[in-house]
Amino acid sequence: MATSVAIKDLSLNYGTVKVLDRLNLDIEDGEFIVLLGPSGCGKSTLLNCIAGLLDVSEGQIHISGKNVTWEEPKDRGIGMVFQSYALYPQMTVEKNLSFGLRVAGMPKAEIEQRVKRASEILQIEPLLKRKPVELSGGQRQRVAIGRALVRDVDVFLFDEPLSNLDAKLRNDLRVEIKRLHQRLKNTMIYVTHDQIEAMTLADRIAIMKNGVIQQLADPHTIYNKPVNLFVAGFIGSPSMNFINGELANGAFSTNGTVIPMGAYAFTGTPSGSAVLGIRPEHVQVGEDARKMPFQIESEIEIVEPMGAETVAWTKLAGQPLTLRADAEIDLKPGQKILIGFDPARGSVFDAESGNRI
Amino acid sequence: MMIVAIGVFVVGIAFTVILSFTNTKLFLINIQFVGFRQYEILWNTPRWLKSVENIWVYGIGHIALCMLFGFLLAVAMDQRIRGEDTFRTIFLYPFALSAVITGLIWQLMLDPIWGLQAFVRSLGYTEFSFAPLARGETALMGMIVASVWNGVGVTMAILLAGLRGVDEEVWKAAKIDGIPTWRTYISIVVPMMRGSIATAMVLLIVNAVRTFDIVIAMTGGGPGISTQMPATFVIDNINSRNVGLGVAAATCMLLPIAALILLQAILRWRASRKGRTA
Amino acid sequence: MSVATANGIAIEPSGPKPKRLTAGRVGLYAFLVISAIFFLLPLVVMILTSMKSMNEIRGGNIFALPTQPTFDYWVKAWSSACTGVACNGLAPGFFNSMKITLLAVPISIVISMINGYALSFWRFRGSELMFTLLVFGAFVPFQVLVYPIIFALSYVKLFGTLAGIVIVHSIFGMPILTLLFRNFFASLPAELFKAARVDGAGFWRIFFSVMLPMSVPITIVAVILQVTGIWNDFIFGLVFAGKDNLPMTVQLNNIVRTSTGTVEYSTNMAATILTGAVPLIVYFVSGKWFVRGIAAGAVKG
Repeated sequence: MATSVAIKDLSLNYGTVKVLDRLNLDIEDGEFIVLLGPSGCGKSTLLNCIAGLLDVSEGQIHISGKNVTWEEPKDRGIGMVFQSYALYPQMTVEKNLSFGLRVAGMPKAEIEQRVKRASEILQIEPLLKRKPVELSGGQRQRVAIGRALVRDVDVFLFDEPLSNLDAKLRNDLRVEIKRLHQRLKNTMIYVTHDQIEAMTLADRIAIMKNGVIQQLADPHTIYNKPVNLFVAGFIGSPSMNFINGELANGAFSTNGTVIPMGAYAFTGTPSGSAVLGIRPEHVQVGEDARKMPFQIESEIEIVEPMGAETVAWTKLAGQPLTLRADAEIDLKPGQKILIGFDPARGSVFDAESGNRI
Repeated sequence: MMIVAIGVFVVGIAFTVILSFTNTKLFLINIQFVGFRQYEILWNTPRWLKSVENIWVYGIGHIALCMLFGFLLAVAMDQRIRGEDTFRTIFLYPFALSAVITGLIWQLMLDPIWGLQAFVRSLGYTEFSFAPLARGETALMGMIVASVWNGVGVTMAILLAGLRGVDEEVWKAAKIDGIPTWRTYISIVVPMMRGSIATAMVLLIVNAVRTFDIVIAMTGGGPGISTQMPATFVIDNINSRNVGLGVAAATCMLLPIAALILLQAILRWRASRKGRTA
Repeated sequence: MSVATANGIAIEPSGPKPKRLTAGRVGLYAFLVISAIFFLLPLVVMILTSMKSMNEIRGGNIFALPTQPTFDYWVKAWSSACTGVACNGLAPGFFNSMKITLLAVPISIVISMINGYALSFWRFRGSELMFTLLVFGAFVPFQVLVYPIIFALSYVKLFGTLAGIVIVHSIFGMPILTLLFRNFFASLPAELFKAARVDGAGFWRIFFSVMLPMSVPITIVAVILQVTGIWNDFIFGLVFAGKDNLPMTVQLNNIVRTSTGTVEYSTNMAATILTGAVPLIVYFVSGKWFVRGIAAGAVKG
């Protein structure tokens, strides 16, 4: 597969602050890649650099094989969708879609055809004569996507497009964006701080922190084999449990409790201070716990019924542990119950560097 | 306290209007109701007619120039220039000076013997002539230059605030769409600035109607009656004991303001109607 | 893909875009600088003229630097220029303006602050109507009310007194200032007010303990607006102040108008500078607040 967007050694400095630090990223043709991270990690900045709205301090950007580092946004072959939709408020939907094309001097017939195609795909035909102020949030966002669509470009950029919508609308539009990608097969670069959006939409996720890409992999890998403590804690809700302890002789010991780590696939040297990470859904209770390689008696402290499941809080060797249990299982605070998990499915991190061992 | 203030305004206006229908000379001695006679006299007085003509010419000139120049300055200031604060300080400081000072300094600048004309002539351009205040036909122009100098800074500040209120993402979207900067200003940004444009206009109109200080300072109403304003007419008549005529003139001054308020009220009513049916 | 540069060597684009000084940018700065000159010119002329002797001015070049810069005219303007009958210079006018400003500014601000506070939080019957009427008052040209006020003030024997003009300034300052304060208070979170009510505080208690401390920024703006407006006022001073209380602006006009023989531009310009000094200093010191004040007044739109 050809490379659609390539970023080479990209850096962006504001004075002495390195907002983006020598980033390298190769995005394949037709790929849906998500830039995920907390506020201030540089994901929006990176997107704006790709778009040409921000000037870079070092490095290059290539789109569809062309070095566009010095090109204007309109010459980069991109379309962009913004968080606040940024529709032109005084124009009708139709004018919003066609304005850029009209300014470029495109023949009327072609403009009409493109507008028709875009509004058909996004189902906004009945809205063409309305003004943005008369549309709902979801409709406005579709028009914003439409504006990018009529440009007939290779790459689409999304800057937190769903953040302004309420939860239900967000879910609906998320599915629509996924459908859109399946239909159009364009390269899409999507920025968000919401891990659910990232997990459901992405072919690959680039998790960023402080201007550096922490891990670039498909959602499954990121979820099950996070490369460091930050990624592990960022993805997954409720978040991964972290247990502090020591690694020695093939076992993880913490406050007197010893957990055999024979089955775990270590990549580094298994010794020294470490953090064991276990996802709440991997912790079994009661009968299911007996099947697990590691089992221990513990006392339930807090129970949070979620409807579809129940989240319970307990302690392992004095440190907090959350677990997810089937809603049918009856759990009560103070209840003593057997819990267990398979250490091989967990993640071990070096306590000092935070990297996966 | 508010009631007192409102009372003052309402009662005062009523007082003035009622008096305009009388023939008072001063201090309400021997009043007689004379109907519209004061108004008849008023509209036959050349000085008043000239005042009304003047205020229209001056008003439109002042407002148009302030809006245009103010807008250009605001756009220029919006371009992320270096020394923005310095420029803004320079553009706004005339506002801190009173209209009297404005009038006096510009009177000197526009004086044929002492001012700009003499300066340019001393450079060798002996045919250069720039003394608007000397001739009746151009005196108003001179006054407009001075008042624009004084007031455009405020117009610029208001319009700049409006410009800055435009969502940055709309600018980004326009850039991605490939729309050149000037076109973005005209087709997208200016329509979004309706609020601040309206504010600037209203402020300019209200201040134009009140023009008084600058006339006294710059020309005293002359040459002849070429720069008389309704405001000076009113004060002169009241001072010279012709109160009835003066208040009739004052009532006439109130009309454009009343019209403006009425217009605003109608627009607001229409907008709320549209909101309900949309 | 490479980009050819001016000297024909092809380079690979990398890093920040090369900045080119476009014609547009040059034109922009030219426009700004020329405008700046337009604005500064009168000030320069004012200062230069005030320091030249009359002979130099007669030379016809208002932009020439004074050969023997002198502050004599400044002194003359201050203490011995003739304002009509008396020849005491601007000094009395300065003190009168001081008195008027120092009295009228606090009074008008305090009243308007209380009004704005009442109107924004304590919705009572007719409050909206009162507010609209008050705002309408801001638009009314003074000339419409001049006679009734003359009449009323002379009736209570306050016409031509210091108290009289202070009252006039307070009344005419109210609409705009009330608007300013009301908009400001309306922008504060309502929860503050509600929490205080729940705590049992009344009208005045809430005002002094909660609102007043929070209103420092807007008060500064109001003070700047009022000081400038009142100091620079001419027409109220002319009509209402009375011979003993004429403010500086009126004196200035008198000095300039009273000319026996040739007009003494040096003195006039010196007088102008002295009169404009106070608001100018206020402006330069307060800088950003001034701009914010104008924008704040504009918010009502």
